[in-house]
Amino acid sequence: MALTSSIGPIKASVGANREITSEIGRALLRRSLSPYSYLNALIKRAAEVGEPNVASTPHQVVYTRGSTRLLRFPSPNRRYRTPILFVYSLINRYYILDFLPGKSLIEFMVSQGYDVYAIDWGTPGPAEQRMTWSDFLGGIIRSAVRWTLRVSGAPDLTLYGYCMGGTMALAYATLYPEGIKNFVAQATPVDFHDGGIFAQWTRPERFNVDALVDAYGNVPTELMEMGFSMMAPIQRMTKWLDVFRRIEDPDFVTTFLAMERWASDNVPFPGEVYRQYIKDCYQENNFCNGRMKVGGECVDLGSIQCALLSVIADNDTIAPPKSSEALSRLVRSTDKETFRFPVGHIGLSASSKGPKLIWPKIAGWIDARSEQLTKHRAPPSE
Amino acid sequence: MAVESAPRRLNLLARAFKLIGTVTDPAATSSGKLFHRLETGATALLDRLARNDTYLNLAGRMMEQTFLVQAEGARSAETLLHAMRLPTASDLSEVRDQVRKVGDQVEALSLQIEFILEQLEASQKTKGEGGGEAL
Repeated sequence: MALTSSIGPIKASVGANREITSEIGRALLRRSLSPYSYLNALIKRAAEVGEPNVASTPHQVVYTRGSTRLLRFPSPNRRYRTPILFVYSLINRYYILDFLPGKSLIEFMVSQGYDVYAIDWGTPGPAEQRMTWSDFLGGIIRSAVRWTLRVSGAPDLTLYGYCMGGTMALAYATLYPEGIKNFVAQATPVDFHDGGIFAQWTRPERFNVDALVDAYGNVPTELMEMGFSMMAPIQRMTKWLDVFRRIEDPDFVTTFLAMERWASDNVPFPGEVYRQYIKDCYQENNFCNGRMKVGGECVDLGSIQCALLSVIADNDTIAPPKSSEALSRLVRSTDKETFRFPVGHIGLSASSKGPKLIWPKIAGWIDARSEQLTKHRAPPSE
Repeated sequence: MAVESAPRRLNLLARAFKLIGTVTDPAATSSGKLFHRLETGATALLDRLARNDTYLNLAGRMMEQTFLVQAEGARSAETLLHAMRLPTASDLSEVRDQVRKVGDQVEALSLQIEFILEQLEASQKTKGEGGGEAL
């Protein structure tokens, strides 16, 4: 009897050890540079925590195109007719916006009564390799805007761009202004000559983007990962010591692992979009000078007239504040505002300051510029 | 009455991690202070390297060579496959691209049809309500 009762835990322990070994083995085979690939299973075992519950806000897929999905996060207590459409960057995955329960920007906006939509670019494959900015803006984002308006039953929306997604959304707003009531640009690089270390690394004399795209098609995840590792190679390793020290704190461990999971969840960058992004933005700074062309049309930020909010993180090293500050000078909008917060690039979407300090302020700005649902008008079917 | 929970007993792995954390904690141990100094020094050194023009130019040239070799290898393999009348990766990309474009055109067409239908419905509604203008 005692023998059988002691077999269970031993079996479980052997099973868990096998899982850890195979996860580390897989990371070695992939030659992963991310410490997460090697430490995740070990930390989970040590702290006795499960897989972080990321992207858990209830949602439906309302539109798909290639690897892209348009997600709808319906609000059970919808108060606004004007929906919000999030456009995330092509680097990493959208779910940093729907991080963990209680720490999710999307969940927060849903709880405020907004009908929220987000573009999930998925994992670009060979079919996306030759897609251009024109395909992404005039094809995917345009369709996402149309579907958002159609499903929400609203005549216009709030376009909410984040990081490179903000740059793309701004370019979209210059070419297709119809249906955009408000624009929120969060941690969005605009003047790329103030683009920080990435601007320095991608100077034309030292970074041959044509050779890279011609060699690989889409930019491989390993190269993207290497670039981010190079930004702070020591901290990338030593930050794990914090989680070692606080291993008995399951909340801290879960949040840490969720963040690391997102950071290591790189996706290939569509090749042709990358080529133009590096050349027109980082190397020639055409984006903010009105010289960037998409589908033969000039991207002129001066043509943006809708209400605009620029959200800047003071400690941002990916989209440095100087690079984002240029936006309010360049647009023609008369209703424009800038909010600054003492956080880093990711801190705007996934820090403890988010639900207390940052998001209520942003939601307040959107609230003042969104159409409320009147009581007699029934919202579209959920 | 509040019930105080006893601190959770850490498993062996957690204790090992905790130990590593403690010996590298500058606020807790002298080894941690030394580790912190090493970390700060290494960070400063690598930061200088990551902004050094000579290093960046050299790294850029090396990367470029790697890309060119990779592209040349792929080109040679494709030439060989084409000589044997076999499809290559770029042929497949071409086909994928064409399929995607056809898909996009179908979508654009369906949007146009929907638009026309909406217009028709609207004009029929106006007619039904007492004779408005058609399309």
